[in-house]
Amino acid sequence: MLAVDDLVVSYGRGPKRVPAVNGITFRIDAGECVGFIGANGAGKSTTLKVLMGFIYADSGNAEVCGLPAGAPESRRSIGYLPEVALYYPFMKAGELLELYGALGGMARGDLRSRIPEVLKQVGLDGRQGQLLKTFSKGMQQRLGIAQALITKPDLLIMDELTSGLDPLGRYDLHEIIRGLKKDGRTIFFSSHELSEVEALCDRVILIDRGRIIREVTQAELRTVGRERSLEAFFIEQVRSGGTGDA
Amino acid sequence: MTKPVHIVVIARGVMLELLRRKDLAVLLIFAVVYLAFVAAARFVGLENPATGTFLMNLSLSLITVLAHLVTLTTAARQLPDEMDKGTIYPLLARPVSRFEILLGKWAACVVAGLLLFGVMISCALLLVPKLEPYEAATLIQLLLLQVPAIALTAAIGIMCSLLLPRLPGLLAAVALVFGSGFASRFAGRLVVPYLLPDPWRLNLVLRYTDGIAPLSLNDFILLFIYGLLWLTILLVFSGALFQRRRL
Repeated sequence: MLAVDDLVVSYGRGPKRVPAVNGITFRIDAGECVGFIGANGAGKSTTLKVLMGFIYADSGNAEVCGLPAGAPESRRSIGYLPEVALYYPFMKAGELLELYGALGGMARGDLRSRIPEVLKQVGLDGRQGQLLKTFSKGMQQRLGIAQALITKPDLLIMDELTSGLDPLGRYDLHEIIRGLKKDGRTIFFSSHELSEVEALCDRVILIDRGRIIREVTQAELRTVGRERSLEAFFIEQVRSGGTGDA
Repeated sequence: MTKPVHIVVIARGVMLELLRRKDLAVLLIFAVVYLAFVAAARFVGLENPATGTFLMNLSLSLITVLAHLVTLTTAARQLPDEMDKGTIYPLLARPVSRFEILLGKWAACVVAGLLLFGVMISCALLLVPKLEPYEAATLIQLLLLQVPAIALTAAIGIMCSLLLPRLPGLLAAVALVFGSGFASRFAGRLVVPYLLPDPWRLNLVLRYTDGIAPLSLNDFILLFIYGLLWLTILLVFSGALFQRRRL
């Protein structure tokens, strides 16, 4: 479903060139739910942006659904939640979802039934006609999830899954993710929340300073969680460059 | 492969924004106030033909400048707004190419500019007293040439917004749209000003209000081709700039 091979991405030019992602390789199979964790500036968002075609890699390959990352057709089966997006304040929630659904290739008739359905799914039922400038940060994040789900994508890529959500919002979103997992969707998301990753993911990829330092299965994470805190495990992995015990 | 449906959907979003933004309404109020002043002159009874021509020239010139200014400022903020607010990400997360987004934004600005121009010029032609004979064929040419002119202005706005930061980009676009014609007139032997895209070259307001005969068909077609050629160059160049941009 998703393959990254020896990916290198740098920012800046000449002597000021800074590598953000430094030769990472990983694969995600269909139906997997994989978490991508790392400190701020570790290279999580940069990797996701390459997968979506927002930025280009200096070298290496990234493929989504068998197509080169960034090709418009590769995005046909992707739902994407950006880390930060202030949706158009002049639009109503229903109009925004109609815009994204139409661009995703959905027919107007299908959208008419899908929009209330997806708004209900993210806890925004009845808000279809509300202007987005009146939405709170949490509501904007829920709407972000709704736009990612509008076309019923096979693959969900989410940058900072629950950022801006209150505990109830987080709980709701976790339930949505569990439902999507049951439906066999592939999910790849970045997060700072270790407990969230442990609760939802089949596998976790740890990244630090542009390099993958460790891949951990859910079973390994649960074992770790019984012995010591996940935070302690994460810090230990970062400090040891991924050679610490699981 | 560029899909027209994607361009239309993007353009519809921009049109919705323009309709709900209050600045367009404020501009229209100013235009209505001006036209009311012109209409008042008609009812008071304007007898001097030169004054009538002056009013006609002033009205049509103001309307043309206003339409280009609105088109330019709207076009120049489209892509920077999307990038600054992060709304470009969910847009580009669809099976849509960057060029389709650019074309959708550009098309909406052109439609908005032409609508504004069309509505205001219709009002002016109805309200401003015509005390001297004007060439109807010149008027038709004036109206037709504003299509590539406004399209060119929108393309300049988008290109400058991709080349430079927001404010310098807007200033450069204003300088190009309103200044390149001026520069070429005073360029003497300098070649560069003649090589700049000049939407004002397609402006026949003075020709119409001076009662001059229409352009020959050859000249008219050449001017139209001039506009379309620059338009193609600017859109392709902007597309390449946007395609290379790291978001």
